[in-house]
Amino acid sequence: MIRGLSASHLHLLVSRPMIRIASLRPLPVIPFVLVALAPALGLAAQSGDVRPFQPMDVFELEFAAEPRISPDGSQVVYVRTSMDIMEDRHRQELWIVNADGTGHRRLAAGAGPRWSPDGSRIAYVADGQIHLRWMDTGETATLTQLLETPSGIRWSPDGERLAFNMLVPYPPPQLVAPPKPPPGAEWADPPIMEDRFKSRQDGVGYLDFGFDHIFVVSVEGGTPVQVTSGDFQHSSPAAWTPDGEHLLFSSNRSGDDLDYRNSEIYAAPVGGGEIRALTDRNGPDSSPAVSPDGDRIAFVSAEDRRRTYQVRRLEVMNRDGSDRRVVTADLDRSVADPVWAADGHRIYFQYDDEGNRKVAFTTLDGEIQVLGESLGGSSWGLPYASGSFSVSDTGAFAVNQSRPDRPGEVAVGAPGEAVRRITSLNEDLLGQRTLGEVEEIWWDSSFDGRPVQGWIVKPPGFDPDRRYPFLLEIHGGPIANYGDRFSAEMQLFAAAGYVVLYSNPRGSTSYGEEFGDLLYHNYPGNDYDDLMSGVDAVIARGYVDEENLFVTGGSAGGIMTAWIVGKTDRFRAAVSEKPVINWISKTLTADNWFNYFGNRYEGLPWEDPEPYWKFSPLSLAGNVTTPTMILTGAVDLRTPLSESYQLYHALKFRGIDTAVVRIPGAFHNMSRRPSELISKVANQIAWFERYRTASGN
Amino acid sequence: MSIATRSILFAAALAASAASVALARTPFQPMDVFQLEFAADPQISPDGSQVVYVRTSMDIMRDRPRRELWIVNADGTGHRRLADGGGGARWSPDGTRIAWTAGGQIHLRWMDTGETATLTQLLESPSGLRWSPDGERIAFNMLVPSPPPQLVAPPKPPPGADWADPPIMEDRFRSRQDGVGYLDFGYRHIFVLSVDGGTPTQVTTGDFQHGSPAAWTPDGEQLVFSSNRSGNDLDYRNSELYIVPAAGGEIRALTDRAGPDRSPAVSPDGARIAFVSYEDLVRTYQVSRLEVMNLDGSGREVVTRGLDRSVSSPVWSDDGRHIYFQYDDEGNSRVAFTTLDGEVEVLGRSLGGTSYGRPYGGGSFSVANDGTFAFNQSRPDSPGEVAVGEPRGEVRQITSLNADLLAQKTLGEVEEIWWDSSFDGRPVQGWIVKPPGFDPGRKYPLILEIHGGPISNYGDRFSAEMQLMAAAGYVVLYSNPRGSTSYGEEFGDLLYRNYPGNDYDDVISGVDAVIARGYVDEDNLFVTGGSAGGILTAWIVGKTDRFRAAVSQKPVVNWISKTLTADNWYGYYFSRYEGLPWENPEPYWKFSPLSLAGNVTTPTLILTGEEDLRTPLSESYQLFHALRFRGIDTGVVRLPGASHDMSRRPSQLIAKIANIVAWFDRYRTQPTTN
Repeated sequence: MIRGLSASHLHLLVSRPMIRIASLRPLPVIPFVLVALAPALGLAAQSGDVRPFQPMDVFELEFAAEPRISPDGSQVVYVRTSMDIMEDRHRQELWIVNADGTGHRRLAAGAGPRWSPDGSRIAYVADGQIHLRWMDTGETATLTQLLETPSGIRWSPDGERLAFNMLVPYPPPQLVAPPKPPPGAEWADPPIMEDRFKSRQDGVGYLDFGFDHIFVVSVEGGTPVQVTSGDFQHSSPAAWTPDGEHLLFSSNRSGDDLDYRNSEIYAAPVGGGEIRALTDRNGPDSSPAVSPDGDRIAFVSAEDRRRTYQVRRLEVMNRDGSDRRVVTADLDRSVADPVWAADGHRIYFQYDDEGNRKVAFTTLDGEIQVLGESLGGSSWGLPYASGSFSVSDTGAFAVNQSRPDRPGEVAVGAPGEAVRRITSLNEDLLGQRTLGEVEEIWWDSSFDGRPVQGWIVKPPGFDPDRRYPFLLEIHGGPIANYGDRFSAEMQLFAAAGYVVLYSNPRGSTSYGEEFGDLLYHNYPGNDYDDLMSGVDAVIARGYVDEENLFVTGGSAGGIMTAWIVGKTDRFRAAVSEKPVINWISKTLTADNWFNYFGNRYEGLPWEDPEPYWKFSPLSLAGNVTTPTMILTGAVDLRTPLSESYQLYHALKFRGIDTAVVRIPGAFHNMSRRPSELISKVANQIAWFERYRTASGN
Repeated sequence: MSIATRSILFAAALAASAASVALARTPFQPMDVFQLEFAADPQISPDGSQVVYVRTSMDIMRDRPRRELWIVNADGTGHRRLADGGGGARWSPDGTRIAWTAGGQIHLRWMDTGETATLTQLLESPSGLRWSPDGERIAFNMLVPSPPPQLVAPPKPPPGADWADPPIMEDRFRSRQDGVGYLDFGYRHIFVLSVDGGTPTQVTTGDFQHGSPAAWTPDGEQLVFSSNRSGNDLDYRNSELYIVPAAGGEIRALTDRAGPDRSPAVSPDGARIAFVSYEDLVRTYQVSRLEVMNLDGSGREVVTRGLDRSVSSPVWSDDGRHIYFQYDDEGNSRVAFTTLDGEVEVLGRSLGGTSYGRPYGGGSFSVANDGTFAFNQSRPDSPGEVAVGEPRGEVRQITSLNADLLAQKTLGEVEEIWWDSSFDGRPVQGWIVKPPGFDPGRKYPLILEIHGGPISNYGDRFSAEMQLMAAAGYVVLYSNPRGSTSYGEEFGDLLYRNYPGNDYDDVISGVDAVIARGYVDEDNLFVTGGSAGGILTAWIVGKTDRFRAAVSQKPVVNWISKTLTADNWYGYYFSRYEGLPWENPEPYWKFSPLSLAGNVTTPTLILTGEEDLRTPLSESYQLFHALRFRGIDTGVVRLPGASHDMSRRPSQLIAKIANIVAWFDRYRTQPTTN
């Protein structure tokens, strides 16, 4: 079978013939060709009409997220995100649009919208409070006066209550009271004590002390009732049983820090009472959804075998936890977000396949039908997977969609119907721009002949007879995927004249469990070979200047970039973004420090540093001759700046051209502020330009 | 060494006798830290009649040391405040004026009338003021900024927009400095300014750091200074002496040996230069010796060949026959002078005072034309006072900044102790601090407090931290295990490629020696220390479970990450450990406390400044997480805004000790009955 899919996936293949053919044949059916650009391609020689995507255009991008279709399927509420050029931040507003694309209007500032079961109201979160809007008159009310920010709003089936999650703080630990300053004195802040297993979170900082709990509040307003109890985190949204009597949720209530990879599904009486575990298997049990008749629970699970990657499957069990069985046994992909169809015969879910996120549904026997493709939109800087869906009582669904030429729009569909895009948030900008063409490419890895998928982004006005400098852009994770999605960064590289290759080497998700787990105890490993083979495959197309190969990538992509310059000198310059350089220090300093022991590397770093060291780019620093810049957010907690400095200093000591660029205030995500993304890419390009030679052709 | 003074009992005489008497004396209390004062940088006038010094007290409203210039007559009379702020005061050669720095400018004061002038309007802060011999010019050091590197201009925000700060590029070998942060881009240069005011002239040129004060030749024509002008980043352990015309011009090197050549002082006749130097053998510790050479760099010879101690701060006597200098001996800082033949005579003892938190060295001296000298002095019961003396005469303490406070306090008695190391029988010096009201018939919990460096020394000096731990009821042992300075080159270099090494045995032997005195509760042994002391603390809990709890302050836990992340990251390769960490991680790993983390059972708290760049918080977290994963009692306490020096804000010193004591008290059991 091609690309490792077994015969049992035939229904899948049938369900998406377009993609399957696309990967086997040249251009015509490849949906990634930007049809609008065809004229521009023809005019490549006289490029006067070419208006590439410009850095400041980033401020003009918009995208749709969290599309919520109304119960009757007639409207979609979604979060419209645009860039505030004065605040240099994302601006989030709730908008509504009819399912036919008409009546597009702003509702309110906010996020997390949820329709009441009867469709008469919407609840959402804004300014740290839960708000309600009556859709007939447009009146709104602020239901709460909470001290912490609520999340995961879920309507009770009778439309009279809302469940949500919220932190319940407890006093931070303190060994001794600090000395007391005299009135009016300006003393140093007192010492801060930390005793938690996990105390920091990238994008947040030091976590507040406390435990998340599930609450229920009446939509008439009033005081929320805390449903869960105990010193455990209850951070995932709850699911109501149809009778409104119980809430189901996923949590780890073991009290054992080392059990961090595990979670179970619990049932709690809404009125308070004993919390009962419905599952007991080692591994994540998450995302419970109760069937309309209340008899069964769909959820997502994997039995933890301490691997680097395992596929999570859709399972169903009885309401009491008995008779659990796997529904998507034949689908070698991780599924997420199960939603029961109103008739209880099918379960909607989403999954990523070959770099493309789909919404599908399945019968309880595992017969799967793909309903919509190309979910995405909230990852607009780089073409990572994102996107979500919602389903109405009629079976119609809404998704947000991302394509290489469009950042994120709302689309609606229904089983048996074509999916229709109903917004065009970016037409105003991108209608005026010649984007880089994105072409899918497959090649075989030199290591074991395994097929690898990638995408080539060509400079606007691309001329196949010229030779272009080439940029290998490597994704993070490494357990993640790039795909045929919009990417402002790729477009900016292409607009600067570079042919860009981005790809999904082994370890990437959306190709099944075996492929995703190939980095187990071997990372960086043969993903290196996969990428080098990809470079060779693009070179073989004849339009790459082999003297001007460059490489970059963020996080795992930054690790691989640092690894690559330690293994080969074929790249003229490199930019390693937010890398891990030393797995010993990384796995003891990062916010997710504990998450590598055993499953990524063998043993514990303080007992057996060898595997942690030998996979550290630092161990190859003595080989590097490639000019290598490191670029990291100053407050990154996932791959802290202390990692970047280790490579910078080693190269500096060795006299290799190097620099470290830090982005003030930026966490691991360097695109929270649009100007940071613009500056980041500008610095990458400037570093490459410094070493780029005149084209050999 | 004949200058060894063993077995001196440093009883705080007043306190000891008062302990049993029921006066209204109380133990040293945490908030008393705000009442401490100390004298620094004492500058004696050319005629020896007066001393200007920096009086530092604690501003309880701002939680910072407050520095003022004070003056006192050499007989202790006429103690008066001169000016706010500032430091670096220097008398004009004729004694009529004082120049000093405050508020980033150079100020002048006419001592007869008290009028003052601000001589400069500099954009960067001057330092290292040095009067020309004719009293008409002042040389100083100052940064000349250069534009930070930038690959590409950042995108331009619209007017009034509130954008993220643009990216910051770094391409320097050394870019950060603990206590400062990211360094300004630029090079420090030597300038000369007319004391009539005006525009300073830049004397040095080139993209090199000229951060050390210059020395004038007696004719006022030239300046001699120490710098590294090689342009080679990897040559960071080296410096040479240079000479440059004071009006600017060709800079000539006077030395060329690998290793530091620094602290030049030109002889009164202008013929010779005294300086401090050693040939770099790439060791962990080498003794710096006093040398003399001709003004052209020829005829260099070692003066203190017979003194196995590091010397510093040479000053010629007015007759050119002696050179004053200071050095540490067995935990005590001295001022001495030597003939050019190397006959050394100790003139004053117990220099110190600026390190009030812990008993590190930190004093300095100055010399008048008649040979009278002033220095600041620290004793276990006296944080830092001004003293004056003459060669072969009495040394007199002429201030008593802390008498008001300490007359009301019963301090812990500090007793010197020597023991032999279990490893090789080598004698090790330490000091025992006893709780006020100490009763040798009782049993006390013991804190082993380990100094930083590890190439440094504790001594018989005042320490607020030791006193606070003693006041909390603990017997404290602090000591100078191998690797400490003030015991000679061999002892200080014993950690070469073996650190942490047998310093472990030295301190454990010290604990046994104190236990042998019979007043220690062996079930309640505790250990703490900062920096190298934090490293050894973390190492100790990986090697033994005899301590009931530990507080590792600002430790290095992983030498691979430390030697690639700290402000002084490069300062360890080959000299401390063999090879480079990315080529040869083995020695860096095997001396990392993290490699022993799997053995630890001792409850261990880690306590570090949030802005520490010497032993960054990322080191502390590595140990915290390893212990946390293993389920060992642990915590990490971070001090917001604090650099490696956690005593810059008095409240943080207080809070730090309170946390250490609280951690120990949490695990301390009731003493077993005698």
